[in-house]
Amino acid sequence: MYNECFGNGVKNLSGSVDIPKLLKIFIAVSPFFLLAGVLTSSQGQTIKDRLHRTVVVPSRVERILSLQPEITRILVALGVADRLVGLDYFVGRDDHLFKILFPGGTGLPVVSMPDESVNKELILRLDPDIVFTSPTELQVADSIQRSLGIPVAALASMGSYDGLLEEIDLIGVLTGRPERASELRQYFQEKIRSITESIGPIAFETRPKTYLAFWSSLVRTPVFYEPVQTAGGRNVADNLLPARLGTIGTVITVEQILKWDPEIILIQGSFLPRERQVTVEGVLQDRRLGSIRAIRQKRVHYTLGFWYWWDPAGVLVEALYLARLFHPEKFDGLDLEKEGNAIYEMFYLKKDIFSKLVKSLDLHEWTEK
Amino acid sequence: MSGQKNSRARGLAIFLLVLPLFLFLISLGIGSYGISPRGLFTAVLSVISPDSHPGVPAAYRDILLRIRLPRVLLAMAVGAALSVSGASLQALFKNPLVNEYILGISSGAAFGAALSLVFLGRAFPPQVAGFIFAVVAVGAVLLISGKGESHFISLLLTGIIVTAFFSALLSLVEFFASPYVLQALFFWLMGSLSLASWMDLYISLPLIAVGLVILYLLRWRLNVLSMSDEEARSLGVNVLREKILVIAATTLITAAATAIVGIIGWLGFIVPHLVRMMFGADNRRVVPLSAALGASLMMIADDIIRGVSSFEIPIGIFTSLVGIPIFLVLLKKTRKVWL
Repeated sequence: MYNECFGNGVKNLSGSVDIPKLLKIFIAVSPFFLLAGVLTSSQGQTIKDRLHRTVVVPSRVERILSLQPEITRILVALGVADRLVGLDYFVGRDDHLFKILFPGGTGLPVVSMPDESVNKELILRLDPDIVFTSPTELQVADSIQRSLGIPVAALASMGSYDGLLEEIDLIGVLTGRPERASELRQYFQEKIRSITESIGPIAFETRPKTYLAFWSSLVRTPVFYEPVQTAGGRNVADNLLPARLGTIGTVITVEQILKWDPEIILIQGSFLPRERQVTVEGVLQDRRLGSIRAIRQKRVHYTLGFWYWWDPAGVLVEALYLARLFHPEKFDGLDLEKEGNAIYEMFYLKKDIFSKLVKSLDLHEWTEK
Repeated sequence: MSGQKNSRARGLAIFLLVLPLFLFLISLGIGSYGISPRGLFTAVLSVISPDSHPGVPAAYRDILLRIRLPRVLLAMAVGAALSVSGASLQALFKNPLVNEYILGISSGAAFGAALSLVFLGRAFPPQVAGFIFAVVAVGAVLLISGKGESHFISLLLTGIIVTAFFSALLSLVEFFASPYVLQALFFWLMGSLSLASWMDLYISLPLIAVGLVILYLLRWRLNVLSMSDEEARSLGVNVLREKILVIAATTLITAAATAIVGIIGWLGFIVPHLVRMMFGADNRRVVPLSAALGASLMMIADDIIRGVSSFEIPIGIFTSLVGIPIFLVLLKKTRKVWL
């Protein structure tokens, strides 16, 4: 079980509408509906979640159970991590970044497990004001709310910048931190704008063809990945349909990679080196791929990618790294370590987080000048 | 009339035996890259004599030699292995409902692969651990069920219990696995030829070949073993020894196939039935024809996956989608499952 993100890249950078992509997005988004705004009443706040459920949330949210890693990270970024009363298994056990961001969080009770099961007795004991879940776990939200009577909101960015920013705004309102949310939103938008301006206008054909090997397999790839687009690259799998509705992932053939002949191959590297099933060294030595340009020119690199949606700071650093990788001449003199640390500090108010991340994930290539 | 029928059956048998060769050649021409037959031919010539065709793109050679050839060969080997295994076990147990995984091979292999992925990482191929634990599972079944010659019901029951036990162990390992490793495990469990390589063939092909040869040589004894034990003994057959030999050979080929491509459902069940419906229950025919038909069905399923969709669907789904309708049509036509 894993949560794949969803992208909304309806417009390319030149502003024209890409019809096949619209169709693809429509098909992929069909199980979900757009996040609605927050309505405030005397009873509390009413929100519509990604499963189109109407959820009434108390006007003041003090105790939060987050079973959605992206929301957990946003709560830390908004400075309300101390309101967390419990976590999902991924953040509690396997998310290396979260251990750095919020060391106190590792002691919180873990409520959900990989098979989407939740410990309802434990939830009752934790007595949260609200529970956040992922919309890809279709049954979990209704199951908890129906049996325990606790408001449950299924939220996720679905892999789009707009979705992520809407989510930050919403959580900001629910937790009484709208100003901080607004600050983060502006910072995020400014950084993206700065990257695209540095790259400048770029024709589709001149964008480097990039293949992404994600989710522990050479042949699993996202059919849309916004950081690649922001960084002035072209995801070769962009025209494919996702293999499962509500996700952005598909499984292709090795032969298809040869057909695409990508100039760059990016391997998901957001987890510890010993846990990687696909490595840069392994791909470079794979004789089946020997004729591909990326292999011949040794342009195989790790990128962050995502498990259980995004880390907002990580997305920005990744887009910046990819922009430098795709267009080095336009980012001459960029100190990615310094920039990365500044971005993470803006979101998580801690110094040198990016340096620690680079060290633990062995991404030293990222910080080479 | 009978002579006409016989010659038609003989013709059909020859067709089935030759079919894998045709499909092998056709399969080499199928794939998302879209190489023309002429392009393929020149790629073959350039492999034989590199200087004679310097203009052939390197990608053509890589696709032909390093992607399609090992994949098609693996599909053939796995299809033949699972089908012959199913046919032999059905004859041995005198039971049409038996399949190649009945003795706990699939759950043993899955547990072994999971254990390897979670605790040993990339240093140790999950296929090897999968094979070892598939053999361990069958060994446990044989050990627990005892040596009695007439205790095959007990063997089947023990197989079901050992399967359940290893499935529980697999769930336990999955529970503690990191999501990154879990993804690799799920991918393997679904059964796929998408990452087939020569290394997979080097590991599995010798084992499958040895097992197939043993079962081919034992094919007439399977006829004897499908009688009662007393009848078989009266014909001078060492029943216990022969049964153990058949189980060892089926374990070898099923474990080798499953460890490499994951769990491919239905093939070992459907193919022997199809062959019996068409040619009768004589195992001298059933064994080789099951191998040929199994290899063919597996290649057809893989060709559909590679040629029709832009993404890879687990081949186990397609073996069922292709095999079950054919099975149902024949069942309706012949109205007999077990002869």
